[in-house]
Amino acid sequence: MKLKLFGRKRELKHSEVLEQLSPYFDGRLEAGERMRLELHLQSCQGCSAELEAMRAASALLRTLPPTRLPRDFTLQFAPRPVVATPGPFWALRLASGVAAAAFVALFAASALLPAVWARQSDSTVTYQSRPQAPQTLSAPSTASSQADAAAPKRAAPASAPVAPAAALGAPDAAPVAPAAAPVGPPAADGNSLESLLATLEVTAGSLALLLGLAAATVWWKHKSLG
Amino acid sequence: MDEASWISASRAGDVKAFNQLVVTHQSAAYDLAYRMLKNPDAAADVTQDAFLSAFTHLHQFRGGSFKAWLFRIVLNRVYDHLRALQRHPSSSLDGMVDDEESPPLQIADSQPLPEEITLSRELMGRIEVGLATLPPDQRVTLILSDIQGMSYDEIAVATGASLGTVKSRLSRARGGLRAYLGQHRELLPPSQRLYFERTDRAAGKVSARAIDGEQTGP
Repeated sequence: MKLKLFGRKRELKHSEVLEQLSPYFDGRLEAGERMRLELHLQSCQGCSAELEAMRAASALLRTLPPTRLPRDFTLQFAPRPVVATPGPFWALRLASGVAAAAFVALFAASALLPAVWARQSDSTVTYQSRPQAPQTLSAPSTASSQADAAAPKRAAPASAPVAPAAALGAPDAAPVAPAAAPVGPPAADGNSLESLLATLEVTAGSLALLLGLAAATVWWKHKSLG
Repeated sequence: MDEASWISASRAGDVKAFNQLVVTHQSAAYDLAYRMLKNPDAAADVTQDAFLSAFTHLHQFRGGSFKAWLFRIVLNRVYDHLRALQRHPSSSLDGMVDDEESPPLQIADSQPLPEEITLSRELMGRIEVGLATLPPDQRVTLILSDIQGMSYDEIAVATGASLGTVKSRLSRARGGLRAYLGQHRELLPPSQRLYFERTDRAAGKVSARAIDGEQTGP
């Protein structure tokens, strides 16, 4: 209503005037809006008549007699007051909070644990690949040496890429690699744990959401007096 | 004792004090329920249930207008009843409106009509039907404002709507009722008939758009 186009106030449309008549009638228009409306009413007989019709209709409603009371509604006894908050609300709220906390913990675990495993794996590879590199290179010449054959036993579990290298370098080291594999966190086990964490995470998140919604519903019904 | 004292005593379990509140507000509460439901028995049940609920939930009253708070409870019960009617439409409100017959009047006989406008029973019945043609949200806003004489703030509390929504519903309701009365202006007092004749066409367009907007709006 206070829009100015190129420094000139826009003319009120009839539809806008008709929508403002009711709040104007109730004295709920701001001073600027009221002045513009009154200016329009001075020059528009149609809108003025509409205002008068609204006054007339409102007056008719105000003069309607009250409905006859069929009986007395006073209470004959004191009904038991309802306790401040319903029981299910607190239980649902607590359960929702626990589920939400579990969700956060699982989310953090699923985000951090793979990084920890990766660091552990890297450090193992770094530590054990030093002796392995000369072993791999020198393997063809010392394939029959018992002392040299022991080196791949230590190197093999470090990580998957190391085992093929040892196998290529030393034919007798090949069967050693699988035997030593359980020492580190294998990729397959890590993936299953991750997927388990993800499943638990989704479950906890869904539970938190559902319980939260249930608690909100109970609270809302209680607030609006059911 | 004033209303605040009755409320305070009622919170402590004093039924006699609460009954003072009942006596003060029961006419208005039943009037609202009846005008919304158009069924005396259902309106009486809703009113009684609302007073029982008000007593048991009085600890939730946070001050302000007790009438508006009480009407919120009445309206919750009214809407529950209207929803039940929609699920089991054995005797719906629409039937009453469609047949264009005036509803049976439940007027308090002892209440003298104002001298300035003596309404014929036919006109009163027509106004009631005109009210019933409005969507429930608009109808209740108009009843609370122009029949019960409540302020915008009280209506907002009673209906759970914002002040802006109250303003727009009231504007649409008045436009809708004005358009309806324009179609039956022969029943109006001659002094007022003139206004409805002059603006009938414009108001019809506005009220039709307003009701469409109410039904299709957010």
